[in-house]
Amino acid sequence: MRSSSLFLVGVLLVACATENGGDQQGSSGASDGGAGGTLDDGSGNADGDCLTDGEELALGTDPNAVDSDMDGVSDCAEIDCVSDPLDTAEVCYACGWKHNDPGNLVSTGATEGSTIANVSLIDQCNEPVNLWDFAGEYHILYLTAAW
Amino acid sequence: MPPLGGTATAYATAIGATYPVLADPTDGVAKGSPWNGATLPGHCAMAPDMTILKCWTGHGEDTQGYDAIKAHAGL
Repeated sequence: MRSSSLFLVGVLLVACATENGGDQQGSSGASDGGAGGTLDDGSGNADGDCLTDGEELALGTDPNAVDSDMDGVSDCAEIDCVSDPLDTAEVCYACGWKHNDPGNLVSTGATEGSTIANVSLIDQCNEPVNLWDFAGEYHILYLTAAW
Repeated sequence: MPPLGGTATAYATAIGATYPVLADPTDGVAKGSPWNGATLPGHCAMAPDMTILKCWTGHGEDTQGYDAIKAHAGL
């Protein structure tokens, strides 16, 4: 007999039709930066990471800190994995999923045409994952059960 | 016993999944979608803004989901 508490959700990306959306921090224009330049013209790199001071100012990150939100993951790593470098509670997913929750979604119900709730799930890397982090692309949820 | 990460890990390994395989220990998707879990497998096509476009059950019925996505995308 199937237990109703054993559902598994497979999030299948439908590659034939996608839209860009979400945080989209992955293409920030980050550069190697490097020493030289000054904070005034934005070309300097006070903390020596992958972002120039100008890029850090544009992003809101701290030009003098490799890890602006001090969550243990560098700004550059968080940008690469599409995680918010200014959100202490958000770090890269171990499985590599993007944090694509645009931050403005509101659940409107459980019927077709509604915005689904931001369900908390657990992925195959044994990490909590929020369903809205898969926003920005078309998906098909494949719903099955484990016994 | 609700599924946890180990369940998702085992299932993903068994099917060779590189896409997300997610355990739903609170039945949140069943409670938050038209699919009620009575028939397996269930499917829901989701728009980029996390709108539920279409849900259906059973095998070999995927065309309606793709059609819903194509219609939403204007294809």
